[in-house]
Amino acid sequence: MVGRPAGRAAAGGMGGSVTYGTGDPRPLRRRLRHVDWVLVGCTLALVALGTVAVASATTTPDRPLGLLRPRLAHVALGMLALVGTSAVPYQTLGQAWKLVYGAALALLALTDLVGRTALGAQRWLSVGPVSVQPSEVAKLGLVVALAWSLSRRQTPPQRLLELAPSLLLTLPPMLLVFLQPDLGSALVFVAILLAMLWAAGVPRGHLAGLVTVGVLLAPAAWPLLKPYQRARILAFLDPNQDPLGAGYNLIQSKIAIGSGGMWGKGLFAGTQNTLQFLPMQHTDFVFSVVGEELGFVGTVGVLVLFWVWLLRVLRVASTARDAFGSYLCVGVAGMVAFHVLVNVGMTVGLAPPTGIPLPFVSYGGTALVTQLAAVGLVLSVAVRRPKILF
Amino acid sequence: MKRAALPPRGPRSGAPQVLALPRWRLKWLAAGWLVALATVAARVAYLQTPRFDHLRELGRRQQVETVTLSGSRGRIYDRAGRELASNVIRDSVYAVPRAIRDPEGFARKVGPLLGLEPSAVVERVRRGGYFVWLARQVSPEVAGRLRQLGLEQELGFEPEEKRVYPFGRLAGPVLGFTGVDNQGLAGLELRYEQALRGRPGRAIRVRDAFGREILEGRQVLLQPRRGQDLVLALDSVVQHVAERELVRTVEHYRAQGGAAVAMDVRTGEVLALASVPGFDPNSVPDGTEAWRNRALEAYEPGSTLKAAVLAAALEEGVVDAGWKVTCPGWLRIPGGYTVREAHGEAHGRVGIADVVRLSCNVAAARVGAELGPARLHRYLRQFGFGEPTGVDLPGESAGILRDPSQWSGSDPYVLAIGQGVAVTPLQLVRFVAAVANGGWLVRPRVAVAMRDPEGGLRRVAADERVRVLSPRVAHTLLLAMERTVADGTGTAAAVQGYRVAGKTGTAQKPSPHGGYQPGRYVASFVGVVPVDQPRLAIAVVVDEPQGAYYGGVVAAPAFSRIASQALWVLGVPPGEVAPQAVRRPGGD
Repeated sequence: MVGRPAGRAAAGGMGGSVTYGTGDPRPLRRRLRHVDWVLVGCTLALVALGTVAVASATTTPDRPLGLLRPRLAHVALGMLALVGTSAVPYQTLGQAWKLVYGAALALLALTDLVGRTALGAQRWLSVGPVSVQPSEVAKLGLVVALAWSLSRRQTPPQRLLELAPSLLLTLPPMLLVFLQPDLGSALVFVAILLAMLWAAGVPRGHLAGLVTVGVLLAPAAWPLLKPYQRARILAFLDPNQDPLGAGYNLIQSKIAIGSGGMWGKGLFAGTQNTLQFLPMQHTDFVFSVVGEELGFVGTVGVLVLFWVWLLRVLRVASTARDAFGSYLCVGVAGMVAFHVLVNVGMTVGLAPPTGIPLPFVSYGGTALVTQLAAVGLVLSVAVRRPKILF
Repeated sequence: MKRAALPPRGPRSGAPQVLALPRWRLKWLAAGWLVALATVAARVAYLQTPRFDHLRELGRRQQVETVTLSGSRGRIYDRAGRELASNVIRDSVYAVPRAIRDPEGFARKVGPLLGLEPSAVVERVRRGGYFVWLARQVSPEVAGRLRQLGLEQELGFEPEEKRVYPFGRLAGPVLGFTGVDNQGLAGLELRYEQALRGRPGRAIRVRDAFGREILEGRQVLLQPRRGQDLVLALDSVVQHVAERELVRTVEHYRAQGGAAVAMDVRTGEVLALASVPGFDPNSVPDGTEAWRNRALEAYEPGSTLKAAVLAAALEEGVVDAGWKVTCPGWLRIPGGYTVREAHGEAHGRVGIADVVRLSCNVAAARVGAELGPARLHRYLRQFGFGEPTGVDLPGESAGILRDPSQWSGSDPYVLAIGQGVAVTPLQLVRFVAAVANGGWLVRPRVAVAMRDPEGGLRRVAADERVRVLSPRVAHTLLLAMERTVADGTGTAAAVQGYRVAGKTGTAQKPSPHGGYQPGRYVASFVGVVPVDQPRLAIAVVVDEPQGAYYGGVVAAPAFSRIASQALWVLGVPPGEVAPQAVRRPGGD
């Protein structure tokens, strides 16, 4: 009933038919046929929409194009990463998981030590003129590590103790990010872990228990939070308590989205946006810009794009050639789903503001490149699927 | 089929298919995310549809505000078209507290340029918000230096109109002044506020999160309309002459102050209205004391009122040309009082002309008694005493003329010599003008016309006049008053080449505690020139002159100098015309 040749899958090119191996002598044409074009389309649509929204959010009279130029550079770099990761057989990455995971941890540790501080948190690592945000890279690193670890198992982890490896892999990057401090990103690691454990078939009771313990432990973390973090959470509970302080962002975001109405005010015409009432309108609150300028049509359009995107990634997961590939897809989907829910939830007042960007759409180089690389990973799994017939 | 690995695919794939993950879990994952996304979508829908109006309104309220655009304030011109009040554009400076990181540093840079204590600047900036005035209507030099500080975010400039008065102190108390928002606060500026202000416009102003206006967003809903220009009857030269002579007199006699009014007897147009000490409306002194317009304030007139009493008696036939009375130098009156002559001299047999010529108290008191309280009061009232003249200036006193029911037995005697009654210089001038113009009481006017922005001119108000004296009585009285200047108490009022009529007044100042204050007098002269074809009625009133205090000594010379120069300015030809040629405007 279980019969799960995980090892073989992990071994990649060594097993099975030569034609599906890592060496992959399949002609490019055939591989391209396996590319999930719907997934690619959704991704490109979101990236394009984000590019327009970022331009609109950052345009000023003396800089009419805003941050369009760097954004396009990010997109170009991201597309390279996408093509690159999709071309490389993902199994190679699995074999090198220690390297990937270790490098991510090292970067995070370095960030905590010497990183650049912005907005009260030490999140960036500067190399010359380029700043990277290692926590974004670490998310993908964890996905790879967890996928590898889980795919080594013959059976789903049934006993609590069997969850230990996964937990041990998750905790270090999570804690390092939490110390930056970046509460939101720390929670992304938890979301990735839970999604992957769920997909792995961990009994529901275990997961429920894990979540319960986490929720019960949360109040214990309250004293560890920085004052501004506490203020944000309190402001989320009652934004009008401090409308010009911690609650300001949320109020302005709601006004922006709400005033967009059905059809929006038109691109580059959002007043909340252009008059700079919206804070961080090109990063954390880019969804509010979309809501104001493209209205309900735009916001629902974005949400539908994400929904289709998630479905396609899960579809790749369910048709992957091996468990490692499936886990990779689930991990990537979990990461993106959490980002979307928390970010959009934040802009409409359903989630506390935590500084989590909207995937593909928000301005931010490291995040975009990482996310497009993740899509490349999923495509890499997709093109190495056996021919699928649905 | 929980967790079942898929069977290998068909031979076409030829690959050992392994599905490691339980599919139902992936489906549940998809379903869970769908629910979560749908929840978020529902929330978005809630914000964008039912809450749309509310949130749009919230946004609009913080981004858009309606501002008032003030129309350019109307100018004020004298009768020759000289600009007495005008406008210049000046920058007003405000701070944007939100944009100021370091209030102390900001204050150190900005404060000295604006003449403000840095601590005062810091205090204003600390109030927060987007907007706080630092200084209004600063000079171009200061604005230029502020602009060079490079504080684009922190400082803002708003061009504003500032009222200027090119002639400085000239006619200050008449023109009044405006407040910092260009609203009229005194004088003509206050009286004609509605017309001068014009109609304010409205505009929509868009501002960003830092309170800076987005100029592209400005939308004018209603264009402001310029205020109307005011054209005065006042003649700057006559006004200047009146002020100069009054100041000279006040300074020479070290008086508290004084007033002078020159009026066209035919129309009531006020050609000059001076009040000393005045002020420069360009820099208004603090305190209302300096803003007084003494021409509109009541004082106890003394002998100048005798002319009015005599007019009433002539009108009633109580006295006539043949009337004579003996003046022993004193008169015992009811209440145990005694009326005395100023120098204690006995005038002997006096006729009506002597009442004004010699200013005989005994004769005047007896005339008053003959008239009796009811008629005396009725006539004084008719001549415009005890109520405002209706001149187009704010703050005019009505004077004091008590109702006869409150009079004591001595009051008809006492009022007839100008005591127990208070009048304004303007009221006196108006009465004398009536004597000069054949019996018409006119309404004094400072402004005569308004000019709308398109150039159309219209009169402020129609001439109003009421007959209060018969031409015969007016003429008789005028000739009697001419005797004052010819060989009476007011010879110093004579003007070379012109016939002058007038009446002197020397009144002790009443004490607020009853009785009179020793050594404190009001010296006055009110007269008409030229007698043969009257044009000007002029009153000069000097408060508490030192050294001399007779109206004929203190005020009459000032009258003479003002009159002679005013006649020259107005181009009134000198010459002896037959006394019968007194002009009667409007006829009767």
